[in-house]
Amino acid sequence: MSLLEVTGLTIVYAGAPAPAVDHLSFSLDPGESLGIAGESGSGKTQTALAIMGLLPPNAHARGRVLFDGTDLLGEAPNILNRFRGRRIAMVFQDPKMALNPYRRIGDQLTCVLEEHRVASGKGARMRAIELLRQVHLPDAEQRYRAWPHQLSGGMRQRVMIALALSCEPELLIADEPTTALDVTVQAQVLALLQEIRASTGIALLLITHDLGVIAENCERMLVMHRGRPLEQGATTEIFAHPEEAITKSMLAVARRLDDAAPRLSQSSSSVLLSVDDIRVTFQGARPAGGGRTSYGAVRSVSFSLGPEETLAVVGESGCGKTTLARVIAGLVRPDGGSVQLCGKALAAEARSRLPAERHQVQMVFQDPVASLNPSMKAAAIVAEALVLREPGLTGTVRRDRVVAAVDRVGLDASLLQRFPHELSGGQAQRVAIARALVPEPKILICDEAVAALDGTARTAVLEVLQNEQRRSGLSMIFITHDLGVVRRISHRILVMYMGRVCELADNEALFTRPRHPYTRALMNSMPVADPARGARAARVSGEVALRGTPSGCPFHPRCEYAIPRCAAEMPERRTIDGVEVACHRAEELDLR
Amino acid sequence: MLRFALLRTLSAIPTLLLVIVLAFLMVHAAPGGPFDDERVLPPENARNIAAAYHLDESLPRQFVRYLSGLVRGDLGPSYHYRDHSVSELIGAALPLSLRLGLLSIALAMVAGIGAGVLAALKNNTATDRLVTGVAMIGISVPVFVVAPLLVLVFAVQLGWLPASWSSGDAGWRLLLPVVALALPQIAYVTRLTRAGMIEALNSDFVRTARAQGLGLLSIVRFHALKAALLPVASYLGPAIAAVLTGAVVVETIFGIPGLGQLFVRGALNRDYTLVLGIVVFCAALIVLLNLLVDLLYGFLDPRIREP
Amino acid sequence: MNTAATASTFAGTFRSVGTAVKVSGGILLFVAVMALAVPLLSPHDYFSMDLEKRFLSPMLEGARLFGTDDLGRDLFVRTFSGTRVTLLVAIVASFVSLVIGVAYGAIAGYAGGKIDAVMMRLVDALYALPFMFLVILLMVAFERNFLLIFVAIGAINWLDMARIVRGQTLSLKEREFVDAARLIGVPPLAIVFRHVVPNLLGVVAVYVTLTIPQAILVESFLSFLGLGVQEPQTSLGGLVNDGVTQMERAPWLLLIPGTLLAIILLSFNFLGDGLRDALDPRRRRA
Repeated sequence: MSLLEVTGLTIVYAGAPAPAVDHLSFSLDPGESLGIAGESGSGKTQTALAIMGLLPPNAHARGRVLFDGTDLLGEAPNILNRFRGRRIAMVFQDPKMALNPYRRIGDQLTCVLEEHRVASGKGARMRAIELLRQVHLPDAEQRYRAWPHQLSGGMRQRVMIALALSCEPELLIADEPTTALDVTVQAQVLALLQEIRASTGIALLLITHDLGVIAENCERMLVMHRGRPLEQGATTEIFAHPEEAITKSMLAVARRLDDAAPRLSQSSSSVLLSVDDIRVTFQGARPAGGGRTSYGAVRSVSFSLGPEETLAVVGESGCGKTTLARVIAGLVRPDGGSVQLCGKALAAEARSRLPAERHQVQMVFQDPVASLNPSMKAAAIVAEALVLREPGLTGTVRRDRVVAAVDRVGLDASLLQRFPHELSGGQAQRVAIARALVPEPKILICDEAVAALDGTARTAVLEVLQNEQRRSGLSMIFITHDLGVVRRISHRILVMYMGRVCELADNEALFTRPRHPYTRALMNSMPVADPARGARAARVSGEVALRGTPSGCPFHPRCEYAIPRCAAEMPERRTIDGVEVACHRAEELDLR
Repeated sequence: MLRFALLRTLSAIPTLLLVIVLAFLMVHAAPGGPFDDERVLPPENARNIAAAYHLDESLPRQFVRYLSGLVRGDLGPSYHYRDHSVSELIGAALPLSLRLGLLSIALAMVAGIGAGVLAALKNNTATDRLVTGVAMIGISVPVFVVAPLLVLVFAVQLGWLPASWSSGDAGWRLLLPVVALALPQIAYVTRLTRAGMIEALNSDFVRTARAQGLGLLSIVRFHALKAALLPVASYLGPAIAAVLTGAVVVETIFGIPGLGQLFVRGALNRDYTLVLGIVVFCAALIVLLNLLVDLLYGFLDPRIREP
Repeated sequence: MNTAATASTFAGTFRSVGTAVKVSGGILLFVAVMALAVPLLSPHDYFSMDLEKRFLSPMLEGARLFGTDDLGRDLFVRTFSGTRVTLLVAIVASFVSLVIGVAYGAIAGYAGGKIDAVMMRLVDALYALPFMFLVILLMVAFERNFLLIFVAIGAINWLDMARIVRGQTLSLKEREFVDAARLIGVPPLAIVFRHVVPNLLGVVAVYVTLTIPQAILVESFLSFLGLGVQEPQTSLGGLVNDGVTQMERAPWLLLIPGTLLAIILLSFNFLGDGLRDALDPRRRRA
C-alpha cells in the first residue's frame, strides 16, 4: 500500500476566481522520492500545506489525503498532531524566520522531542546533540546552546532538517528547501537529504521550481501548472519524452540555460571601463535581508571592460559583487582604487560626476517592483531621466520618447499608466530597463536582474538585454550567482570569493577548464537538468565564514586542494593561457 | 550585552544633562518673578531678596550654581514654602505618588497581558471583539472623565468606596485612584499584547511548530508568548511617562497629596524652584527608568544579548 | 507630488476599510456639522446666564435638549460650542506638529550619520521631559494665552511623528528606486520631496488621525485644570471640569460632555486604526 495517496485534491480560496489546486492526484510509496515541479503560483506549496493541515482558515479543501490509510484532510488539530512531526515532517523554504529567534536551538529540538514523548530531560538533550551531528552541523555541542541569529543560512536549514527528523518520521516534505541558499550550500543540503534517505529509508516529497534539483534528487516527478497536474511519471521518462507543451517549454528553458551555445567572441582591443584595485571595507558584519548583500567587503578587485562586451561577475552571498557594482555606479564610495571610463577617472560618487559621465553608467536591480517608486506611474518613472537631461522638451515629444523607450524593451505602451504594484515581475523589470536606457548609457550594470523572475520571464528579459546590446553596442556587467545565465550571455566571467578575484576568463575557457578550485566547486554545485548525468565530483564543504577572514587565500579552509602555503600567503593574480587566476596551485591542477 | 549596557548607560547622561538645561531655561524664560504676587516691596528689600536667592546673577552663573547643588542632592529652597527645601517637599510627597504609580503599572501589565492573550487566542470571535472594544474605549476616554465617573458610581451612588482621600481607611482609599490611573494603560497593553500575539501566531516559526505537531498550549507557552511580549516590554517606558502625567489629574481629583498636586500648586504659586525641582526629578526618574527598560529589553532579545 | 497616485491610493484604501472606520468617519462628520450648526441655529447662546433656569434636567424644557448648568446656561449650545473649540485647537495643533515632525524626521532620516544622531538625541531628551508639567508651567507663566495652547500641544505631538517619519525615511532611503534616482542625477532635496515624502504620506495620514486625539486630550486636560480656554468660552474639557464640580447634584453636566468627548476620541482612534490596517503593505494585492 502506498504511504501517501492524494486523490482529487482541490483547494479553493474564498473570493478567488480559480482554484489554487485543481483535482490533483498522486501517490508515494514508502522510501520513494517524488518531486513536484512548477513555477510560482502552480499550487505546489498549497498541496504540501494541505497534506500537513496547515492551510489558512479561508482555504477550502476537498478530496482525500490518505496517509497510511487515514484521511488527514479536514481533520481536527489534535488528531493531526499525532501525525505531524511524528510520522510526517516538513521543512520550509526560508530558514531565516522558520526558527524561533527567541529560543535556543537546543531548546527548540528538545521541545519537539518532549512533546511527542520520544525523550525527555537529559535523554532529550543527548538525542538533540546527536541529531545535530547527524546533519553535520559543525561543533554540535556548542551549537546546542546557540541562538538562530548566530547561525548562517545553511546551518539553520540543517537545524530545520534535524528538527524534522527528530521523531523519525516516515515521510519528509521539503518545500523549496534550498532556494534561499547559496549554490554551494544548496548542494550540501541536498546531499544531506540523499544521505538521510539512504540511511533511514524515509520517503521524500520534494517541491521546487528548479528542474535541475528534481533531476538529481527525485525518482519520480509531477509537473503542476496553475493548480492543475500536467503529467507525472519517472523523472528520466519525463525529461526524455515530455508530453505537455508547458512541460516542454519548462524543460527547454532549463536546458537552454544549461548547455546553450557559447557566446560569439567579440574582439575588442579598446578598453571602455577600467577598474583598478577597488577596496571597500564595511563596519559591522550583518548579512542584509532583501536583494542586497551588504556584508560583502571588497578586498582588491581590478578588471577592464570593452565596448559591446558582457562581463559576468559571479559569486555567492557576501563575496562583494554587489558592492563592487555600486562602486562603479557611484553609489558607494570605495576606500581605495579607481574607476576610469574611456581613460578619464570617474568621481567616486554619482553626485559629484558630471551629468555626461553620470549617465554613462546605469543600473538595473534585483527586485523589479521594489526598484520602482510605488507612488509613481510607469510613464513618470521612465520619463524622469528624460526630464533631467532635456528639460526643454514639450509634453507631447516627451510622451513619444517614453513610448519609444518602452517599445524598445518590448513593453506594451498601455501599461505605462499603471503603478508598479499593478505590474508583473517581468513587466516591472522592463520598465526598470527602459528607465536605465533613457540616459543612453554605455555601460549597464545588472545586479541579479533576473534572479527574482520565473523561467519564461527570465528568458524574455535576457533577450531584451541582448537585443539592446546588439542594437546599440551596450556593454554590460552582469552580476549573478546563476551559472546558467552566465553561460548564456557573457563573453567573459569574473569569479569572486570573499571580496577577491579568483578567476577571470572567457566564457568558453571557464566552462571547459576552470582554473580555480572555487570556480569548479561552483560549477559542480549547480543542479543540472539532466537525470542521466551521473554523480559529480566531490562538493565543497563548509560555508563562507560569518565573521572574520581566513588568512592567506580566503578559500583555503574549504578547498580540497589546499596546501600549507595557501594558509600563509595570499596568491597573486597571474595569467595562464589567457586566463587570469589567483591560486598557488593553478599551474599544476587539472580541474576538468 | 555588556557593551550594549555600557553604551546605553553612558548615553543616558548627556540626555539627562540636556533635559536639565532645557527645563532650567524654560522655567527662567517664563515671565513674572516668584515674588510678583506679593505686595510691592521697597527697592532695597527687593534687592536683598533677589541677592539672597541669587536672582541677580547672570543666567549661566545661576545654572552652574544649580547644577552644583544638584550633584549634592540639593534642589534649592522653595520660594513659596519658605521653611522648606525643595528636596524636603519632594521627599514628603514622593512615597505616595510612587505607590500610586507602581501599583497602576503593575495592574496595567497583569490585566493588560491577560486580556491581550485571551483576545488573541479567541481572535475574530465575540470575546475578541468585546475585549478589543473595551480596550478602545479605555484608550479614548480621558482619565479626567473616568476618574470622576468612577467616583460617581462607586463612591456616591453605591457607597462602596471612599470618595476622597480624607475619608475612608488607609487600605481602600488607593483603589479607585489606582484603577482610574491604570485604565488607559491596561487598554494600551491589551492592544499591544493582542497584536503581538496574533503576529506571533501567524509567524513562520509558529508554522514550523505546528508542522512539528505541537499543540496550542505548547505553542503559546514555548513560542508565541515570548515573541509577543517583547513589544510590551518596550512599551514600559512610555507607560511610565503616561502614568506620571495622569497622576497629576488623579491626585487632583482625589485630593491625594502627591507629587502631581505639589507641582500644580507650585506652578500656580510661581514657586519656580519647586517646579523646576519636580521637573528635573521626574525627568531624571524617566531617564533612569527608560534606561532600565532598555536594558531589560536588551536582555530579553537574544540578538542583543549575545550577538 | 503626484496627485494621481495619492488619489488612487485613497480610492483603493477607501474600498478596503472596514465598517468600523466608515461609521467612525460618519460620526465625526456628524459631530463637526453639529458643532458648526448648533451655535448658529440655536435660540440660546453659550454665555447667557439665566439664573431662573439653573440646573434644568435634559429634555425637561423645549429647546434645552441637554438642560442647563449652574449658571442657567444652555448645555446643548455650550456643548457644541465647546466641541468647536476642541476640534479647532486639535486640528490646528496637529497640523503644526505634523509639519514640524515630518520635516524634522525626513531630514534626520535622509541625512543620516552624525546629523541624524544629534537630531534624534535631542528628540530623546525632549521625550524624557514630563511635558505635561512643562505645559502647565507655560500656561501658568504666560497668563493663559490662547495661542500658546497651540504651541504647547504642537510641541508635545511632533516628537512621535518625527520618530515615525525618520524610521520610514531610513528604510525608504535604502530602497533601490532611490538609488536609481541618484544614478540619473536627481539632486538630494528633490529625492527627499519627490521620492521619499510621497511614500510617507500614507503613514503620516494614519498618524495624524491618531495624534488628533492626543491633542484633544492635552487641550481638554488643560481646560480641566483651568488653564486652557478662558471663560465664558469653553471647550469639552472645560465643560467636564464644570461637570465634576456639580457631579452630585447634576450628573448630566459631567456625563454629556464627557460622553461626547469620549465618542469623538473613540471615532478618531477607530479611524486611525482602520486606516493603518488598510494601508498595511501586507494587505496589498497586485
